[in-house]
Amino acid sequence: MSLRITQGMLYARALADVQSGLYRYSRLQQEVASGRRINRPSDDPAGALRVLPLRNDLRNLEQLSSNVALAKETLNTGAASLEDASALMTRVRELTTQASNGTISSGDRQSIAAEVDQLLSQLVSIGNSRRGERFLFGGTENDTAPFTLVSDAGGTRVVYHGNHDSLEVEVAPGVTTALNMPGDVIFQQRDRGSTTFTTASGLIATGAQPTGSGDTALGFGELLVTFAGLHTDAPSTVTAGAGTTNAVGELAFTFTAAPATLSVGGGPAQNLPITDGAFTTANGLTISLTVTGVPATTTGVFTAKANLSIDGGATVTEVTDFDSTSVQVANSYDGTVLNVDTENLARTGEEVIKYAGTFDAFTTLITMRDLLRNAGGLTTDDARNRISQMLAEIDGAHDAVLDGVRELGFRSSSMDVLSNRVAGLQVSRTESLSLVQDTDIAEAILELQRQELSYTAALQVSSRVIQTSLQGFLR
Amino acid sequence: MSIGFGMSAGLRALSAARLGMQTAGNNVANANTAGYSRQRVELSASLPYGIGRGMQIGTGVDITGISRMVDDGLERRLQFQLGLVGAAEIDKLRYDEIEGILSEPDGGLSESLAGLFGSVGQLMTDPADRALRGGVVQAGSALSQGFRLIASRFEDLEGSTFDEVRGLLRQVNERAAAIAELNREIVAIESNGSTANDLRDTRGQHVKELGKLLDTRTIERESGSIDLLVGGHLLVAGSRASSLAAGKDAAGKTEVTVGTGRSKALVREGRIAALLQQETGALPDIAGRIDQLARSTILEWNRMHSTGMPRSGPFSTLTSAYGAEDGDGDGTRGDELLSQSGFRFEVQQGELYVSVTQRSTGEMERTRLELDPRTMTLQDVATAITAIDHLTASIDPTGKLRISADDGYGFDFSPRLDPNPDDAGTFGGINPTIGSQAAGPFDLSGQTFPVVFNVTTGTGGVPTVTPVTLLATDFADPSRATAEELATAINGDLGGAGTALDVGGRLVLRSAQGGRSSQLTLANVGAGTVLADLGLSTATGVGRDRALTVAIEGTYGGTTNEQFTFVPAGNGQIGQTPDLLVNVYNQAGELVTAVSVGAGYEPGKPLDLGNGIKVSFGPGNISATDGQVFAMDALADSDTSDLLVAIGMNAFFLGSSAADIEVNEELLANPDRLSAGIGVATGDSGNLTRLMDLRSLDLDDLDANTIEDFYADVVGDIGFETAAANNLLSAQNQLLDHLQTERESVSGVNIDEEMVDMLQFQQSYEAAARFISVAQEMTDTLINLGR
Repeated sequence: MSLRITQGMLYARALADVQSGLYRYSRLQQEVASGRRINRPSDDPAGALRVLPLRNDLRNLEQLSSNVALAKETLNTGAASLEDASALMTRVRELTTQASNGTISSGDRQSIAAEVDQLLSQLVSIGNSRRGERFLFGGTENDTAPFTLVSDAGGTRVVYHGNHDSLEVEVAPGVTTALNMPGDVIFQQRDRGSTTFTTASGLIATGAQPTGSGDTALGFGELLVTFAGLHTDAPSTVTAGAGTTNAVGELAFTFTAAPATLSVGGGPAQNLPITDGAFTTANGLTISLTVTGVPATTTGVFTAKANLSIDGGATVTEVTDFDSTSVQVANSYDGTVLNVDTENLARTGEEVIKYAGTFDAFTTLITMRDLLRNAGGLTTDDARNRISQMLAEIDGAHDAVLDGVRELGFRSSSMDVLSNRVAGLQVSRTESLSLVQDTDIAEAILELQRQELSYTAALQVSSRVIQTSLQGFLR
Repeated sequence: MSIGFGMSAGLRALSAARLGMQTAGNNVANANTAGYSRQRVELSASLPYGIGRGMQIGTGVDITGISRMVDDGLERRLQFQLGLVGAAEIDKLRYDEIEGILSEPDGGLSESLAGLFGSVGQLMTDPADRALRGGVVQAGSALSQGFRLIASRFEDLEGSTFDEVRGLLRQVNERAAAIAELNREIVAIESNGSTANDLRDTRGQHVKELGKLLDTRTIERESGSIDLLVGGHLLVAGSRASSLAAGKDAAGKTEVTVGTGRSKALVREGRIAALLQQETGALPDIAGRIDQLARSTILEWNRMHSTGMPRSGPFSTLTSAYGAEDGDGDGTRGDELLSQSGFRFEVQQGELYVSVTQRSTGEMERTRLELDPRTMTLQDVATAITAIDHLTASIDPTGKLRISADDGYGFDFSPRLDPNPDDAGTFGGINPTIGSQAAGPFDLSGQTFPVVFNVTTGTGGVPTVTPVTLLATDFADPSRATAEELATAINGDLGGAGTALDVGGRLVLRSAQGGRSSQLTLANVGAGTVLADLGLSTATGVGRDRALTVAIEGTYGGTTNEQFTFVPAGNGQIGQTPDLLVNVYNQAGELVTAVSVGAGYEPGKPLDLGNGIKVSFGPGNISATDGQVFAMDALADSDTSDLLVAIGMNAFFLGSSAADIEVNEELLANPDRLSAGIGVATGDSGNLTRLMDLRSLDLDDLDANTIEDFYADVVGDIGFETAAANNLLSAQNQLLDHLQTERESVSGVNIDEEMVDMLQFQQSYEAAARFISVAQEMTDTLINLGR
């Protein structure tokens, strides 16, 4: 160090000390006033590098928190709509039980039919529930109503226009949930089992069997088996008659030359020629034939074709090969198919088809309504039987709706857990952020006081030193 | 002994004392003068003379000089340190300004970036909501504004360098002139042998002040004048001073020039050097990184947005934001190669997939365009697009590409999966088809051209036989005949009987008539073998009353573009035949998977293919013998050429740097145009998911950082630099303090010391005066002796 001290050095020293004291003082003042240690990155560059991502995290969590709340609300709205649907299905069941009561009058049945029709429209509106302007049950097609009620030559049905895309929303870091549920999964359920045929009441089984796989129709339906004329393997002298025929399939024929007789299917022989003759088979089935004479081949097998239809006769599929285990019959109105095993198909008739595991709430209501209106002209007993058979369908459809309620409810309650998780993360991030960027007020104020003290001391000392000089002591 | 001897001694003593007082007084007066060095009177005993017998008697005091207490080495070190401090001050100021411009952690780009991604996240909760869509557009606008503000302020800062340097150079010139003047005066004074102390002090102070501004080399001359050199050039030479001026070099950066010849002077230290270095170093570096960030954001964001779907579904018409430039000056735009059309983003060699959708049915057809910027012009692109059914493209006079779809149709560039990929009906369709058993290319080198085979079609009555001829010229290389070449050649002959198609690289022939009774048979002519070479069956194919519907669901999650080809593994009925499979091949021809569609499969039920794709087969029959097939594009990137980004088609951001980034005004006017979806549903949020994923993507353009990480790096670097500049300044200041203290110690005035000196000289003066009066009395006595 130097050996000589001058006043200049003392002044400079005093100034410097005062300056640095003031600087520290002002910094602390800024820290306390703003509450932040880091007001600019240079205040603590390493800390600043931690602050930016922490802030982003917090903003993210804020967004997630609002997403969770939105999710919960949307899911609850959906569940509430489905609960309305469930109540509706309960009402339908009540009406069904009423209608299957033997003592009900036809007037009552009509009024029940009217109520069912109303409930059908209501169910369609529930399917078209909205939240704000968005449809809840259409997948990601939120602008067009998912369900429309169509009435045309094929009857009434409900068509689904939505898709199966889910609206996924992030509700916690790395966790997404779907806010929606496609309407057809709820109201047109397809948890398919095996198809079954039940012979329509009052009728005898046709012998047709479900194939066991490949069916796409939903809920239930009817298979109509009708006589479709004779196949090309019929003897040349034989043509279909105008009388009633209820036999289909391969039939054995035996001609005798003299007397000219024909026996079909092992049944009693009839004399020839005969027009519109009713030939019975050993099984008791009847086929009406017009036979002009005895052909060259006197024994053999010919095929009585059958027409199969599942759209009420609008389109038919002809069966000529009764050894097939799988004939595909299509519904021309909705494009669904049924596969029929024709190996044992022997007579005309009607089979009630149940596509096990699948339910279509709309079709159920429509069928209920139509049965009640009895547009098909069934006997009271038949109608009542069919109506009571619908109970199982209604229950199934109701269960599908309840599944939906459960699913949405489950998702909604998960939101509570997630909401807590997000809130917890928010707290921890805020803490971390605060640790890095916030001033410890208590510490800062203490430091401020200390600085004030040392600043005052510096001022006092400086003033003393500066003032003292030899001049004060001369003379 | 002379009488006067005492008087002269006394007189000398008086002068000495008085000079001493004066010097002390001068010191006291200049105690606070900057750069003043205290002066001391040099006294020595005057020459004695002899009085005989070897005795010498003194003659009093001689004033040998008034010296300046100054350490030249210390002065030079001080000057140098002042330069360092000056530079450090400028650096700190600049970095403080830069930090201020970035305005972090509150209210800077990091907030805008987070705001943009946040708005996307919010839109994902209700993709069709107009207000939320507007929110995304606004957030983009805020980000753009943030970028532009920063860019313009950096530009201002850089631009101000010139003016600041000019101002400082004015000061330099003033001081140089002053130094030259002082040189002249000092030389004049010192030629007499005296030292011009005060003038030297003043000159020294000027030199030190100059040192703050720039580094100079001082050369002291014998005459007492000094020469100053700046970067090797003479600034002051004796009593002449040159002047420095600020100019701009070839790159537009500020430079310092000397004298009338304007030769460049290299300044290395001091304020001016710091300003120049900032102008070419830190400022462009930061501005460049911000630009890099803006450009990368625009590129990546637009890549996603341009291949997305707006709320209203496929576009009826779109015009690009940028036009091709008229590079060859012929007045027509769009006839230059894409690589030379002046686009701000490069067009790469790659593909662009354009999808055309029929609005009423939702049926979609996708066309692949191959683009090569080195061989194609924008006009070529327009022509290729016009060749697509139901689209027309043209180039308007400003060079912009405009695409329109016919009424009832819309187009898009989205990578969505085609929901019904079997448009051609070659997979269990209504019309009978016969397709090759394997994909091309086909080896026809064993055939003798022309090759003929017959195609028989009909619905039961008299069949139509159409001969098809293949010529060697139909193929670029007959040993590698592609399905495309074959299809073109065969269609020329088939006419109305049917169509030949290239499906997934396989050749398929389709009869024009459909239904159960429609038949299609292929037969070789004579001993021909071409059908075997092409893998085509000669068995009769039969049509169907109802088409087999193939439906695709989901979103492709793979990372590379693929084409999947579906081929039945056997013949049978969907949902019925046991062990019926459909093989799925990828673009390379490898078997990816085989899906089970036989007994146990419910027709219409979606099967998972992996990578997010689900396929379902409706009821119907499939046949491997007939060579049934359909192909499907699975796109990860529907615009690998980046053409859409380059011309600004369906862009979100416009511009290419931080200075001109803005949001496409079409989006500002109509938020429904925001391409939030990939699929056509109004609530589809596929593109929003991609945009959110962008947040965590490491981008090559950003040195493998995510957007926010890259920016955080910039902020962090600035923070560190600023803190370092602050620390450096305080360290340099401390050093300066130390040196200045040293100087004070050597050259500073201590008032108390001067007080003591003054007392000393005062007493000396009194004593000398006393001595003179005694000598005078003695002389008087001597004189009065003779009376």
